[in-house]
Amino acid sequence: MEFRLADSKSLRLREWDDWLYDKLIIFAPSVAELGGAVDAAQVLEFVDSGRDLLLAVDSRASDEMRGLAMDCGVDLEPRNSAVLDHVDYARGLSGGHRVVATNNTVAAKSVLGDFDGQARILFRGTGLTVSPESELAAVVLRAPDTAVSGSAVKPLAEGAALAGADVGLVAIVQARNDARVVVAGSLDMFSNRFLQAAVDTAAHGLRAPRSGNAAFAAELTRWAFHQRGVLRASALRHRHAGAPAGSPQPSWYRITDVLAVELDIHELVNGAWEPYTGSDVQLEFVMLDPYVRTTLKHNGKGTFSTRFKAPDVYGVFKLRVAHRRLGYTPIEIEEQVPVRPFRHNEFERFLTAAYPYYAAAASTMAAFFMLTLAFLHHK
Amino acid sequence: MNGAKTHEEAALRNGWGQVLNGFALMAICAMAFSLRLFSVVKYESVIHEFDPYFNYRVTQYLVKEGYYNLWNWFDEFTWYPLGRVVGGTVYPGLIWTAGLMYNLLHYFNIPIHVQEVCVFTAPLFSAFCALATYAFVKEIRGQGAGLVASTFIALVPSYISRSVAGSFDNEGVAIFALVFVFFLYVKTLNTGSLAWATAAAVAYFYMVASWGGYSFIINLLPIHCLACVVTGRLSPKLYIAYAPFVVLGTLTAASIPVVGFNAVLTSEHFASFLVFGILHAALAITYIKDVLPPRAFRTAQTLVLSTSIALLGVVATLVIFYVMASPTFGWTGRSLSLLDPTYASKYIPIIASVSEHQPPSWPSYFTDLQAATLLMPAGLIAAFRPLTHASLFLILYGVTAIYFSGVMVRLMLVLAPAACCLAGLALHQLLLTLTRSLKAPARPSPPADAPTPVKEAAQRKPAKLGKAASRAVEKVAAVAKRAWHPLPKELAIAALAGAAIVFAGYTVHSVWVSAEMYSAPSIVLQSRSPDGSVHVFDDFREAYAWMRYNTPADSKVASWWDYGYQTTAMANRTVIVDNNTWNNTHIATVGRAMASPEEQAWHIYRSLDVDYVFVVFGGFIGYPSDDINKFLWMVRIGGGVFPDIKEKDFLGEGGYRVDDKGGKSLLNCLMYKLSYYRFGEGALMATGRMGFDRVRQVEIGNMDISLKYFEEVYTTEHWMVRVYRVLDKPHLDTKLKNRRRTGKALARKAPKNVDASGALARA
Repeated sequence: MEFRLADSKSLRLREWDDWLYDKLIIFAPSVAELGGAVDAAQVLEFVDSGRDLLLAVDSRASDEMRGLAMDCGVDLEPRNSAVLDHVDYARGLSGGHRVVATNNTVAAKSVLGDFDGQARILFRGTGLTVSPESELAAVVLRAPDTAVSGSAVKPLAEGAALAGADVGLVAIVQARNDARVVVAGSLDMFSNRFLQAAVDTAAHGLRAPRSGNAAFAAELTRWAFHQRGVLRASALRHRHAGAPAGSPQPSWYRITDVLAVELDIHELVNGAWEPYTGSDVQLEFVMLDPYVRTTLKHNGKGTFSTRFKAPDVYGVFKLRVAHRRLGYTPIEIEEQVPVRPFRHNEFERFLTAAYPYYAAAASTMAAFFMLTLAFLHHK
Repeated sequence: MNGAKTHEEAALRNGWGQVLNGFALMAICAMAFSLRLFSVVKYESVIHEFDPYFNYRVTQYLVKEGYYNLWNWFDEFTWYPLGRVVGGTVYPGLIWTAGLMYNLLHYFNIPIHVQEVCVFTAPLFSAFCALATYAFVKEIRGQGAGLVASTFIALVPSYISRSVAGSFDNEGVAIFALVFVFFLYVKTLNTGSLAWATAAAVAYFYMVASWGGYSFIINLLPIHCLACVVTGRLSPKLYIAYAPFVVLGTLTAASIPVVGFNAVLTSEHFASFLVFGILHAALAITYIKDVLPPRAFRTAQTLVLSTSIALLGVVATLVIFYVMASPTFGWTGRSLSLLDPTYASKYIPIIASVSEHQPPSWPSYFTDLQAATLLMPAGLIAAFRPLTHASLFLILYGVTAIYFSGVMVRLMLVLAPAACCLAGLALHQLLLTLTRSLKAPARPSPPADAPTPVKEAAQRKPAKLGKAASRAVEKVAAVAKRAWHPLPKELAIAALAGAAIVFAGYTVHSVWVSAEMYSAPSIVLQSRSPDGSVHVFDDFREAYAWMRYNTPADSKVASWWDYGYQTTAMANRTVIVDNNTWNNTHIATVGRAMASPEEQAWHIYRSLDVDYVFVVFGGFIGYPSDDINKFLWMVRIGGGVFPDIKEKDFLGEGGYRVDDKGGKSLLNCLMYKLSYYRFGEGALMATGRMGFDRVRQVEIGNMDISLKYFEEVYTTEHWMVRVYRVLDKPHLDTKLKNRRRTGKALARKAPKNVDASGALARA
């Protein structure tokens, strides 16, 4: 771990094409420009290269930090606004109504692990939101129902602010290349004072000897730095349902063939790859639209499998596993499999339904033959 | 004694005539073949244009995988992700032919490459076509006319345009097959032999396998048969020529997968069945007339007529109901566009967009047929004197072909043999008259003594020809005898010289056309600079080779459908659409993407898994048939399926233009951006003027083009092909903005308070 001032002249993230670090924590909400050769664009490149970022801001967040958060897909509330709780604020810390105590966390073990969600988390800073269209970003910590987001200095204008659970406090971003970004609206929530403070709220009088900040921060950084929620999918394989496992993979299938598809998914738990046990991994068989969508079953050893019948439509299909769950590494696996029509000699040779036609043809031929005989030899 | 000697002399002369005839035919074949080699001499032995590349690729598949695998070939490289069942959708005649020749040559250990076989197939078959034409016209008017007609067809520019070396297209063999079927049909008409009728059906099978134009035969033969019935030329020979042909022909046609049950289900084929019935009815009536006494016949006539009219009414109603049930009245779009020349431009933009589907202009008749155009009407008259079954057939062929050629430029090809045969008749008749006038004694003498060539022909023919043919020749002789007044010798000489000049002009014209107009392979372009040096533009192959060696093997390439066949054959990459325009929606989707703004286009391409997009751009060097000039068709075809694309959005002041007065949608659509990306400065190199487009002769309207979702990966030497990569989804959703909040967030005016107290920590 290396500590640097954010505006230090000697600040460097990479040397030539090599990144010097794997994880980056920026606790410099108000710095106008990052120092040295580093700027927001380079930090984005850092993330684009698959590395992790933990960004904490507060009400004083500078344009640089706002831009950075926004480029990650998280929108901060306007400058100088803060999350306020005029009803149930936490006492005992400087900041008055600006110190919010919340336990409104997202229920996702993949992100927060064993954090029970009982202890209150103390927060002093700015709110944030995530676009509902975003596939990657999600809010993991929200303000309590009594909180609003508004200007920290001016009186609250009517109806101008976000309120309650709409106010996001901490957001996570899972990039498509598995880089992870955490944007926290409060720098103080990671401070020693907040970590060690007791909780004592004004209205409900909730008291606790210790805030949940320490546990929350520990779990959150564990997620951010790839110690939790990491999945690895490998070896998508398919064969005819009748063929024994491990037989060579066919390069095409015929319409209405039954396919057996397998896939290994493992999860990183405490530094070791262990079988993933999700029960909602789905497989799609797609040609423009999904023709088949089925849930994969796992055998407890990390192998997910299913069988399905190819549709009666030919074309170039794709086997696709698109597994995106909050906090987990997204799994996107595609494999192209052509599905062909029947060969000319694979149709049924004699159809029961066609027997009248065979009879008709045969009788016509016989009649013609007899007529010919009669015509030629009967005088 | 004298008579015997004359007879011997005549036999000798006849023998020499046959030898001469044989040599003449060989010379014609050699000429037909060599005339088509200009493309190899001027360029190289290379496959031309678009469709031939597909045929070439299929032939490669055939020689590698065999006939059965071709029949069952499901091609996943085209029409991604739909794929194409090639075996069931291709006319395999040409491919069989080339594959067979390849296998044959390899059987004799001649190690020739598939490409060379394909390149030289069409010239070879044009030589065969000359032979077939000779045989066809010989059946109608004898050897002389046959030789002249076959000379005509060996040289006719219209046919050259489709059969130069490298033009490996269906028409190359199909025109031979067409004439050959006609020859066998006429031969059957003349001989009344069932064997010839069967041969005609087999030839028809080859024709059906070769080209969709077979429906011309299956409609022309019924017309001829009907005309014979109506004009009282009903004969057993006609029956033998027609009835077995329909039965066997339909059966064999139905066994070609691409035709299949269409042979009995679509309206194109109904005429043959109807006439089949009429022919039987007519024969039955003549038979009954022979058998019954006149009074009984009259009674029977009224009885049968009334019942049959009633029956016919019922059948007709049924057929009409069946036909009305289908939206196009049982006709395929392509056939309807023939019957109603305005149909395609109204309803099927994809047919109308092809230049060879436009009606021809008058000059193109003279370019493509030249002297044959002038001699054709004379030939029609000659065919009437005398009118036989066979010459009636030629007349009908000529007349219908003239109509069809007026609908589509492409069908000029069907007219060409008819025009050549008719011109052959006319020129032959002319030469006959003139030479006889030359030979005739100065003072009038009884014509019977004159040893006219026709009479000679009449004397020697019976041995060589069928009875009907010899009768035809006799009739010719009779007509000639009746009408014959020798012309003055001077006039005859002058007229002969005139004819020679006309024919020499025709030859010179054909050679010129073959060398200059029809030999360009269109994938390699040439231009001549004022000092006479030749500059070659090989951009297409450059681009395809780049794709072949620099893109992943499973990448999908999108372009306008014109380049689909070439991309699969030369770049060996999967394409979204190609020249086999079977799925209009798919093509419309690509057209829509090209006509959409960049972001929408990116979404469309992503949904089709497209990795690379290329456009053909001529503005740099002035190549006019580029994608910008084809663009309105993309809009029309796209708009036909997706009504949100409207042609008027793409038109600027006074129509289609690419300068700053062009349509708003045009200046922002993907096609425009991909074509003109970096062109502002690029044009400086070519013309010295910023953004000056040499095709449209204007400065482009949008020079400041930046691409967000596409990345230029390759542009060829003369900028004719520009390849772009479709970028992946970004790792972060930076483009997504929270609409509700962003307004405020962006509106804030940020004071620059430098408070660098924060610590930056790195783990």
